[in-house]
Amino acid sequence: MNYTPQKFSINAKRALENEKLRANLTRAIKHTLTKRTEVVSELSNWEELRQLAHDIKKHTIENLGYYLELFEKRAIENGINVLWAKDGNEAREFVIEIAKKAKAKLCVKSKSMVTEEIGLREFLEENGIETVETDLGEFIVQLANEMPSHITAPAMHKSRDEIGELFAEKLGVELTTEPEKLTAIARKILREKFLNADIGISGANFLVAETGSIVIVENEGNAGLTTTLPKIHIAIAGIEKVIPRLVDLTIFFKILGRSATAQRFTSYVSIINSPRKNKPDSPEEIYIILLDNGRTELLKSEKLKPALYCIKCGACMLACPVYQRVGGHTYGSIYPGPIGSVLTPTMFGFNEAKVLPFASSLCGRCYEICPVKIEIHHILLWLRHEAVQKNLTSKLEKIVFKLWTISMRNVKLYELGASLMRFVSKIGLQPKFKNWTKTRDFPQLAEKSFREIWRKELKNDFK
Amino acid sequence: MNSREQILKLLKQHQTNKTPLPKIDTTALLNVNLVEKFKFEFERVGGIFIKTAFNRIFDEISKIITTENLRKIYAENFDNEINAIIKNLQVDEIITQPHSYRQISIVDASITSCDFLIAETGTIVFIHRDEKFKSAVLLPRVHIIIAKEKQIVGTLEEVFSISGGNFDSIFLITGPSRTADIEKVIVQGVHGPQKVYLIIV
Repeated sequence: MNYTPQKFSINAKRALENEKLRANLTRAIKHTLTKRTEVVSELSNWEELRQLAHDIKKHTIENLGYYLELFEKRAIENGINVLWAKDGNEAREFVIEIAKKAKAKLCVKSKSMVTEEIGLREFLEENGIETVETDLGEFIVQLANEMPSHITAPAMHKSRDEIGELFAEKLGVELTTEPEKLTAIARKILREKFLNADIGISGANFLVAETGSIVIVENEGNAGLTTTLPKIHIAIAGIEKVIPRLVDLTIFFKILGRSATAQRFTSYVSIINSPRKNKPDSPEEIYIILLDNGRTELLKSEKLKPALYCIKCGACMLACPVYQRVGGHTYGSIYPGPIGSVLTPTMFGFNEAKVLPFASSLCGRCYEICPVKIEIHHILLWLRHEAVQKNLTSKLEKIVFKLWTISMRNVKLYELGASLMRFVSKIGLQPKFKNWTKTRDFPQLAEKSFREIWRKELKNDFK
Repeated sequence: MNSREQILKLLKQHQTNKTPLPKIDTTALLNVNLVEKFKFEFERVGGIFIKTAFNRIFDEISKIITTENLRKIYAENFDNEINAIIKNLQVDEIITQPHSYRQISIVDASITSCDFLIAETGTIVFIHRDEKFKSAVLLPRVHIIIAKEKQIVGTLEEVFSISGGNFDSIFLITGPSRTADIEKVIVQGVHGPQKVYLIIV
């Protein structure tokens, strides 16, 4: 199926009609949100933690140049190679250059949204380098040749039956639908890949400026193996991932696990400072690629800047009434849901993704759940304003709002318009407004207006 | 101008420096029995906690060998007393000097030490700055850790304030390897160990 932001409404309709998908989504989302409430409510200082995390991120983004330079300095002192890429193309070229120099045939990858963002796996495969996703969820979507549908639970749109059939078809194993058995099959196949891989590719959840550390948070142990077994480790991170101090991690660990997977603490955390030359099993070379790819565009605008505080936990997606019903694929972007509707148009092209800020009820649940307190709903509203300013909305809509503005400024015109609409309602006519009434009924007006009731019935009571 | 300069130039143009970096108060676990708290948190994430006397270590590991049906074991180099205990364990093979991680990948269990235990979250801390195999904590199906009670600290902040930035890497383990990628069903032992035993002396 063809998923692009332009096709949001077509794909949303299709997703809403897909009962199986909705059942899969509901089960996964309900489960995580219930557990999340439990592990968040047991902390007495959750709101303080959110504010602290927000302030740390805000401070860092305001001084991003300073902290990136500090990180670079420390990382180089530790023996890590630091590379800067302005876009996906440059980042991909860095990776392929390293791979070719090492004559690499096999890469293992741990979960990383930024590598999805730049299509790194596909690029390496096109260049003849086998590249394997080792996170179970990512392994499943790679087998199915799909996009992840959520940033921390990539295969949540699939049921165990669908995954069982997929494994049987693609891996030639006996059909089973038990999660334990399916996991064991993946473990066995991926273990071989780990032991033979030439390069390990990871993302990074945080980069610590004062120590030059690369920090990766995970549950399966695949990131630990990816960054331990192969002789070369390449980490790719967006430039917004840097934080000032090691101690800041203690705040982010508390909020990230709870928000992403409803855990008090994730099973594994790797804090990597330096390659270990001539040691039994650590990489001898470590590269960190600092990627811009549109991030500095967000930094230029005071309104958009807070979107860079995002720690990619995916909680806003689970909380969003739109995402809950249509799922991640519908957005046509690797960053779906509320924060995705901010990032996609601003990082990858406003015109193509202009509908996404409108795919929201603006209810603000995304803000309430966001562990770094990004006012996502306000940014979405502002992006709608931008879309109007850029003349990207429909002409008819503009005319309607023009008329509305005129009539709201003139009592006589307003009354005339209102009585006309009331008449339309009364005779049971359903006005059609192209896309607007395609997904909702035209609102029915009350039989009598408040003005009328006031004049005839209420006025005297208040004398 | 290369990409580095381009990015940094842009960032510096937009540097505002309005928000101060917040101070983080060091939280200490007050009025808490650290051993009890650690045990509670560690068991809650699926770890198996065994508190025992020094002369009972052999028996405790032997019990694990029987329950888990362990044949091949990798054991890190401990002090002489513990090394002697490990040497006498009844298994087919004990590897103490592996030449590569491949050898560790074929054992059923590893026995290692650790650097700290964090009571607040039930986390086991491994700080790498020496010749130890990092992958020994991840490759085998069963991981057995031998630690001393005095290694328990309250919080991660305390670990950072002791370690500073002087390490190759830090690895934090909180329970067994797990996933919930298939229908949110929790499965243990995806890529790392299915069982994590902590023997505390």
